[in-house]
Amino acid sequence: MSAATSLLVRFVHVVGMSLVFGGAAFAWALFSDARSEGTAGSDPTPLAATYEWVFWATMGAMVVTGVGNLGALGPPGPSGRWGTLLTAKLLVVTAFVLGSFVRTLVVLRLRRDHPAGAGRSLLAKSYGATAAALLVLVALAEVLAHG
Amino acid sequence: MADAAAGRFEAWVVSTFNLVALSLVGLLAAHASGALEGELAGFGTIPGVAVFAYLWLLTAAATRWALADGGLEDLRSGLRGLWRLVLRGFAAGALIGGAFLLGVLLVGAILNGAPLLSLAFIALIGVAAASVVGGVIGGLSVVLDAGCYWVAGRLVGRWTESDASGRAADVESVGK
Repeated sequence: MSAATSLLVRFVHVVGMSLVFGGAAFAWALFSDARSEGTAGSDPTPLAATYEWVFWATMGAMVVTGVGNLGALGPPGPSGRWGTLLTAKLLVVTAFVLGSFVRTLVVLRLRRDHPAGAGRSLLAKSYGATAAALLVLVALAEVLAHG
Repeated sequence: MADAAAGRFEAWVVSTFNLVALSLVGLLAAHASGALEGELAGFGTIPGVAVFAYLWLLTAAATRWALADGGLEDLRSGLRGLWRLVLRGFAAGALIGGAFLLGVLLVGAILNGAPLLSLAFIALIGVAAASVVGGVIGGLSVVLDAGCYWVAGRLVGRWTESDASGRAADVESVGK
């Protein structure tokens, strides 16, 4: 992989992470704010649905660029410290993706079956948990990249 | 109009989740067996992105078709709904598997100038096998999606109930 391609792959990966983390933190802060509850236009699901569209597009891009990063670094076998860390990161990412899908389906069900504004506290907690899990993933990625 | 938008949203998130989850499981298996290093070394960035984008496109289109007749809402009709979705998932997965292999074979043959007869022979056997594998993956994906949909329903039900009882208690205490 050329240096320019490698840089582009990492750029997309880092921007993707910033986008999903920033979006989750923003949604958590907004939905936790009790002042906006019950006011006109306080239904949280349109904003949550927009985040989910962007989130899944970004996850697709991050899987490709994540594999690209591994190709650039040259992954070791499963044994050894780096190999074990990579296994741990892949397991945590898989669990995170599964949890994120449940969160997305929560948004879908709230939009379909419940009156506007329902489930606000559940969404606040979901996006808070998403932001916290992403911080753990960033820490794991840093250890993988810099030891 | 709102239903169409909800259908597009559902197809997008379900297809992308299934593709991302499958990719991660494949990566984990390849890494655990020690095969990842060799596989990545023989694969360039541009071909890798192109193959993933092609698979993403196929998955999005097939999922849209599989969910067109009621979508995950069909699970409300119990096991019958689940069975209908699993069958549709199997068919969609088979389409994805067959079309994916056919596309990759065609592009590979054009780029390498392979003879048409041997390509047709490989495609005939390969596409049939890929369709079966894709169908099984598609059916299993529906079971996973249904499990997540059920968990989401339980969460929403419990949370909206406690939110409503909390609000009722607030109104009562203000009334006193």
